[in-house]
Amino acid sequence: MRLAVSPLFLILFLSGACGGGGGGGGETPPPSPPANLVATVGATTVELAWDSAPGATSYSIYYSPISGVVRTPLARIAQNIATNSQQAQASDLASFDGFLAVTAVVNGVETGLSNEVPVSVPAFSTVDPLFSEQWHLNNVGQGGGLIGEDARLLTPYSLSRFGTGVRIAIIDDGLEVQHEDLIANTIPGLCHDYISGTPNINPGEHGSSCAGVAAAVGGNGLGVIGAAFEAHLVGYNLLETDTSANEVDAMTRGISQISISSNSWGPTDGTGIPAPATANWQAAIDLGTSTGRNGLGTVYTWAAGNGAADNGGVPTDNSNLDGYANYRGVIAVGAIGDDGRKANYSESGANVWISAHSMGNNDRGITTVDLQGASGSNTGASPSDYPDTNYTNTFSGTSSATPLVTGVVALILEERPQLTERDVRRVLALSARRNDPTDSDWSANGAGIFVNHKYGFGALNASGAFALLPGYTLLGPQLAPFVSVLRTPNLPIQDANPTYVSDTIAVSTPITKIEHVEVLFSAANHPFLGDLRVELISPQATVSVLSEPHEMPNGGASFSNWTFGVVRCLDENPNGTWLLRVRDEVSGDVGTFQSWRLTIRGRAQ
Amino acid sequence: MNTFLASVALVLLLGCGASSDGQDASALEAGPSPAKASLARQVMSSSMARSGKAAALALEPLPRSVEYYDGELRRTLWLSEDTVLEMGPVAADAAIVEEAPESAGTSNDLRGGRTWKVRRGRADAVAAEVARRGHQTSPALHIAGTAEAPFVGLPGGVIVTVPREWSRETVASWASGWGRSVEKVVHAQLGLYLIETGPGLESLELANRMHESGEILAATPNILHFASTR
Repeated sequence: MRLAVSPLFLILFLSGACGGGGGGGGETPPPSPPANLVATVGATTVELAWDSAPGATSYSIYYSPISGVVRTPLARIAQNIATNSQQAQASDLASFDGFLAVTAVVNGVETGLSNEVPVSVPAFSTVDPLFSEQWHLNNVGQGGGLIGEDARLLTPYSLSRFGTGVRIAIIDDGLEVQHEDLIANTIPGLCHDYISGTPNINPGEHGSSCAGVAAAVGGNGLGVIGAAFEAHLVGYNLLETDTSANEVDAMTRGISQISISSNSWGPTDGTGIPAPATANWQAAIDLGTSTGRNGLGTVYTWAAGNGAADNGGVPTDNSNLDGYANYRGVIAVGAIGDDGRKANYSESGANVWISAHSMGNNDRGITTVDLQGASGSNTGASPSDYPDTNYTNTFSGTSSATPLVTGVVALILEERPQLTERDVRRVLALSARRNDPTDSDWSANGAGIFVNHKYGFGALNASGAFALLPGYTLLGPQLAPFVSVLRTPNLPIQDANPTYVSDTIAVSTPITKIEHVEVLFSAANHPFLGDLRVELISPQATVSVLSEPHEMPNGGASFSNWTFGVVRCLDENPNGTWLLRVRDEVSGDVGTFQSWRLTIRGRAQ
Repeated sequence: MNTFLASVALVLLLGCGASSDGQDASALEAGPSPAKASLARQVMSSSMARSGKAAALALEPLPRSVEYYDGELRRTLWLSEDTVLEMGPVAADAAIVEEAPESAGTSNDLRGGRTWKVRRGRADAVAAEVARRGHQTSPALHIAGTAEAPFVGLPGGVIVTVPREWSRETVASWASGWGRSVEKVVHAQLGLYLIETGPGLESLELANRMHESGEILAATPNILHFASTR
């Protein structure tokens, strides 16, 4: 059985353990805390010393990667220390860059924290042992993958950009704060547990794996590295009790300091039924993109969805039927495998912004953090997974692709922290690589930007983004959106008929560069929307498939004031005539193209 | 630090030799013609979708629905006939489902609660029985009109949107006029407050009344979603 915490904890615990003291969570007014904590970082050692607290029976050590150590159980890295000094080998603290403070236990009551001290210990001089397995970061053909099909991290790493200090929120089922490969990057005092209302978040398996992809610690000689291996992590376990009120909180908690909110979750996939987000969630996202990150806008990355079952070419779900992933404030992320092709499960959509690597159709998964010990995905029972059960090679889904984008965004923001949220998404789009280049869905939009319903603007390309950044000009302000009248054509949709029914909207607006398009659409009296093909055609002739015939294994549904998101017209001039066309391709049901409304957001230049 | 970084960069450099960055201008030259590919997809999708549709149509529709306001939109939810959500701490008394032993079961979908699957048509009766034993329940409410569609719950509370200049005291005073109190500030900057109610349809019905009163900007029931990891 291994001790389930970091080497920092290990060293301190082994050298300092004694029998006394309980520590942790005393509720009565505490006696005075220890004083005059001093840290000395030598060539090979880190020494902590502090003044003894009168009557103390033991001491505990707490940490935080940012100033402001909090006395919360998940921040405690050592306890039951008998003496008022500790020494650890610096190599065992590799990559630790943060703050430490101590408490004492006096008469069974834990004191408050001492003064905190900064401690910075450089990384090891060796690459973390499982880095060579992380083909999504560096695909050299591991297991037969296509060389170079990865996130292209060479340029940012060669420029020493590792996301240092960029803060990422992982919104998920929890976060194993004291995982050996997350602890040095995680801010325990800023995590949030929606059950208790405290920072004491549960160790969620899925959230921990996501966190590992984004920002597992690099250079500590342990396990894996995250794409941004010096970024800071906080975890909010929204999925433990996902209420509308908690969703608003999770999207806005600490938002002034959250650079990226990473969301590998959403409504149930694979039903083909439109699943809306609430208006309050939308308001929270709007607030984050406009005021987060001290006014530059928090970047929300979002898993496009895993419901595109490959039934001989018939999709089940489309990402545009997900009211979270198709919202204008998020970056919807699809998944591609180590061959650069769409993973069968990854949902297409006119809302998909970018694709990133994950388990593809050959089942080669992503190597990342797993819950420590026998918990989690790697229980030690599978011979194909790692002997070290703190890690797994089976992570997958658009869940895994999303934090990879998150990590790369952290690198970008370290390089150009003044980029707005809109700039970040633009840099991702313009730098994306045209993966799976023979796929027939690739086409240039009216602004000459290649886009694909499966892949968005293409594969995540960190080096491409860094090549853009030196000459990148910040976007001007977004103009007031163009919002059309609600058109009510009320056109009958003939059953299983190849002829489209269509309606047009003439747009005249000062906007000359599109950033986002929304279509509010109703055919509420057609009982089976899985029969319908709905397409939007821009004045520049860009065709966006909003819905296509698909399976609905959980039963039929209707389009009733459904909002589609469209990103495919990026940088096009919106002025001119837009056309929406609808047809029914499967026999059995009829209805009416009742209404639609067009909303266009963008800028003048 | 630098040695480690140099190592990583070196490994990346060695691994990237066979590839190039940037978009490939010849990307669309190969493969089937778009027109033929489109036709093939269309034919295939039509026949496949038909078989899937037959199965979907075999699902019996749910007869009862409710509506609520979500911002400017009015949305519909369909009441389950075979699922009950028990909210809050899980009852130790599993005998609640003895009325329907052949079909009863529980799942762990909820932390701090659970889902009861009961005989079709018995949802209301089982909910009443669970409530009689002092536990809080919500109907399962499907987002489309079949029992197989994803569902949500009503854990209690109405989220109201008030003018941003309203203080908490102002909101509390307004809520007291409805015989209610403010449970918590959801987000002051957005003017969002949670007004306390019990779980279940009570919250939806109160939200509708508050919304239609015109006294505030909007009201919507607090909803428990069953989001999935991806």
